[in-house]
Amino acid sequence: MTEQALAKYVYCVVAAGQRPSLEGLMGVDPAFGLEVVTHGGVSAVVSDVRLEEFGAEALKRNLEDLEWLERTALAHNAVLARALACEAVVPLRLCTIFSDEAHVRDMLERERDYFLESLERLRGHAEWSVKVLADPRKIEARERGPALTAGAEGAPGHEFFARKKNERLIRDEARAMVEAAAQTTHARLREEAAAAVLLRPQHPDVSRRSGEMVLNGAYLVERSRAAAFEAVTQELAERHRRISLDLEVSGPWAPYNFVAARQGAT
Amino acid sequence: MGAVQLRRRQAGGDMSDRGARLTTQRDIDLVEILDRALGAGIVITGDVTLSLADVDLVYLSLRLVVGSVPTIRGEPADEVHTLAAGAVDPR
Repeated sequence: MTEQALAKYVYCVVAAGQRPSLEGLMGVDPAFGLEVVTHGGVSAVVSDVRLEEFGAEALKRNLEDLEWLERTALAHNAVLARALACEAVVPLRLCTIFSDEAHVRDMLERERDYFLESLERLRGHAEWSVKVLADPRKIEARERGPALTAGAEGAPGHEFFARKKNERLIRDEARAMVEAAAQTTHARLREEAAAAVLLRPQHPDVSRRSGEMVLNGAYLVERSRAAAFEAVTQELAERHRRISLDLEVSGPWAPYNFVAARQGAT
Repeated sequence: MGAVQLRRRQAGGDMSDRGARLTTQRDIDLVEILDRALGAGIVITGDVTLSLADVDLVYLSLRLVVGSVPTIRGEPADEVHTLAAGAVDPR
């Protein structure tokens, strides 16, 4: 087991000849800048990392350290954000590391067809995130007004049960309305996108936005049509606001969610 | 399962490992980034990297800590594939 001092961390792959501007940017190991390794028509954006920090054993420890993970993920994403200036970029998962440049070249050779196909498919596109958040209490309160009046017409003895039934009705209606809004939002955005994917909603604890995430969508949008996509999100946001739903948009992102799950050989 | 314990050091030092929660706007953005950098992106095994199972376990634990719930692979990826295959072709 000969432990070298350094290894190559790979961020993403772009077409050979495309050169993201990487000036002034450091890698996940801030001691090293970024380089491009080109082989067989594709280029990998890489940087050196010290094995004492990024070797298998150290990595296992560090990945469990949220601060380390935060630093590394931010640096990783910063490179991807720059690479977005290229016609197309295939993002690699965090902490994809090879022992040296020769192994990076081997990987590029092995995965060449996949990278070329993906770069072709993703050319001129970027990913956008759209989330819809619902505060059930606000929505139920909106629905409650007219429904309660209807319930009050019942006989006094049945008032309690009528109210309970009413509450359930209100909850169901609010839920149905929210789900319908999420579905139509996704359907509408999908029309504007080259591809779309539904991600699992994030938990309220992390969203910290008041409310429940009822839509967590990722959309692959042609960059030339980004303005049109944003206009549609604006229009949807306004419509949602009227029914107490919040819509959040972020992007452009590197198309992380639009590269097919794949596991290369070791 | 559950062998990974994510730690977050707090400036105040009063936060227990288990109770660590991400709560600021910066953390929200971070979750967006982690969901992508750790939960998406093409998975290729490097020769130095941990086994994929180890990374997946970290991501799973992270989801428990930050409360974020998307999966790494599975149906979404399949959907990406079918949607992308049909839709990106120039029409």
